[in-house]
Amino acid sequence: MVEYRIDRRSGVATYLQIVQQTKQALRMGLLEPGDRLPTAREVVESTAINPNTVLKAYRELEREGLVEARRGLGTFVRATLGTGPADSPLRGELTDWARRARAAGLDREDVSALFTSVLKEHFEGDDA
Amino acid sequence: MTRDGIALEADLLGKTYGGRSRGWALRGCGFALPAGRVCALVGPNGAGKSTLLALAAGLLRPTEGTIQAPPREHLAYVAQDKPLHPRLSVADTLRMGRELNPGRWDETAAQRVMADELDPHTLVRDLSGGQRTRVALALALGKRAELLLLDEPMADLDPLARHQLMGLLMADAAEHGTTVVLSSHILTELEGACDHLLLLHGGKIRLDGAVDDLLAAHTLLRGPVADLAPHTVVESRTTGRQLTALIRHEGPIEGPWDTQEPSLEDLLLAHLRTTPEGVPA
Amino acid sequence: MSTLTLKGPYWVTVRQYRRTLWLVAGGVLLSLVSMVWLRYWDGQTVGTNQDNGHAVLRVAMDWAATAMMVLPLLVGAFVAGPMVARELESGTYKLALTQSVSPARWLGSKLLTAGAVIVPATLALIGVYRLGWGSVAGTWSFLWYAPDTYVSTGPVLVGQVLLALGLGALIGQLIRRTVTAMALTGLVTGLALLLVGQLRWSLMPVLTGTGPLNVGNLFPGVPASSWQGGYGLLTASGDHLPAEACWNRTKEWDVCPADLNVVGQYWEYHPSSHYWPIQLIETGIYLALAALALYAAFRVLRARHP
Repeated sequence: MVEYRIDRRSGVATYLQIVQQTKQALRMGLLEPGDRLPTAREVVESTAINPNTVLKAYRELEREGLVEARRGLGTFVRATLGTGPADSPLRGELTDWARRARAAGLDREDVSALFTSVLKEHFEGDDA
Repeated sequence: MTRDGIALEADLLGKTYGGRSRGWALRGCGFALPAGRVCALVGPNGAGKSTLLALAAGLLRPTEGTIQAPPREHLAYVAQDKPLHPRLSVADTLRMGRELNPGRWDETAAQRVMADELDPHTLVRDLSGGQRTRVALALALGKRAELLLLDEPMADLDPLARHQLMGLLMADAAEHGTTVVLSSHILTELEGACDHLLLLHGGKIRLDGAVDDLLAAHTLLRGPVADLAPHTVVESRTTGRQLTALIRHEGPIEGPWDTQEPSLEDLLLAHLRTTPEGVPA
Repeated sequence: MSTLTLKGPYWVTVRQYRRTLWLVAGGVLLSLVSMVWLRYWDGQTVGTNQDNGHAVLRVAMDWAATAMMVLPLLVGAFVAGPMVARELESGTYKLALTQSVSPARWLGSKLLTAGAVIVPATLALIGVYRLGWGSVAGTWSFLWYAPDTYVSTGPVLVGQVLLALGLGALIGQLIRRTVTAMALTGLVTGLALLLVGQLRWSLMPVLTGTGPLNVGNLFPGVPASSWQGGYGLLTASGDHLPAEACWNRTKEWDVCPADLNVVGQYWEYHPSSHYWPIQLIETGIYLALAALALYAAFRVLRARHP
């Protein structure tokens, strides 16, 4: 079971925070296929946000094929996301790249800006 | 009786206390609140929020126009001053809720609000403001109403209780599809919890609609000074050569402007700053 | 005073005013115990030189009668103030009127509860008073028609408290301020009782006795216990003349000028047998007025609260 934390000052839409936190939990293996997401009632009781916001987030997750709603039972995880971050070969390559960037004299902010611009270039239009 | 799918509807609603010459607390108000919404009724002090809620609760008669709400059995109302009988105990007050709402009283819902925070034998007159609010909300939620009308419900609560009770209200709305109207002059109290907005100012309705629609219909833009037609300018400010404006856009925005979706607070402040006082409240 | 069997708004009303209810019950019981004790004391010392018991009983009865006269004003003030105006003043009516109970049921249950307590309590107090009255009845200041005794011994007091209840319900709603409503209801109730009281001896035709001129003020044929109304001179044609009509001319009570044609004198009176009919007629008037006040109270309620 995941527990959502809503940051009202983050500037990120509330439903997106739920979507992102669910995906994060999927990536981290905290949620696995078959697991039930908390009901809208449970989420809003602990976060004091509007129930429709939770439903909107769940619909978004459903649209992406990550969860499915079973009438009268709840919303269940269908798929998992990515692979475990620790043992991914991609991570190894990124680590390698970061080491080389540092050696080349780039500081943290330079690397972050560079990474963000590449992300933007390749994932343009993919929201959340 | 209300239309299908509409929990609360007003048409040309007006209310004046003690004669038309004495000024209108509310005038020309029209809106239709869909069932299942959590509606923020916002506006500065004296805007007419309490009058509107009391009219909706059937405690006042409109001076003109109409307001259609569910009958007394199906609505719950918590007045701003949280009136309770001072000499009844907390337990007696809840028992009163059961006695006066036979067949629909939900003790579990009421007890959830109480959350074992209060000794049931305490007399109401010995409660703090926040504790009174808790008892008043317990009465309202125990009634299992279709429409909850709450006048400044969170004003006396500490942040923890506010979060907990707002959570309970939202849970009630999630579980039963209850329509909730919450009034406040502090928006941050309601942001995130509400999906519908009624902005009242000077006795008139200035904004009415689903929060998402309202936000999507407005744009906050910054850039060189230029004519903003055909868009409706809600508020604009010029600093040197730079223009900052909140507009209600008509069609796509073309021009050298930096655009951004406004926050609910941007939207409210812009409307409050620019709407004329209209009728004195 | 069990609240276990009460339901809905009746439970709420009883719970809200439970202190007052206990007070009323306590008051009635105390008055009963005191009266029984006074009668006992009176009985112990009767016929002796130290009949302190009787003296104390008379004083107590005097006070009791005064208290009984004030009772309707207290009832009216309580209904108007604490029961009606205070709810409107403090805003608790907003709580009551947004539950599943109609305004008419809300006010109705309050008034019914009040009536259900006040009527038996008043009857009990009348009973207690009559208990003491048995020993002093017919003696000076305790004649059946003395205003306080008359009110304290019969159903008329029940009519009065019910009128006060109706006036309280009406005025409490119109004034909406606890203290002002109490004072005004006391005043209006007092005036209404005074007015009807003025009519009391006209509610039933008086009996008229006639006799010769020379009997003075000892009206033959009129029982000593009667209420005495007007008296004067009677002419041959049956007309009534003021008692002093002859004296004005002849300076003698028993000698009349021939042109007045006086044949005797007359006197009007209510025998004590008129007590019950007058009590019942007057009670009926109070009940009718109470019904009117209650009707107005519910009209005001409907006009104010949809």
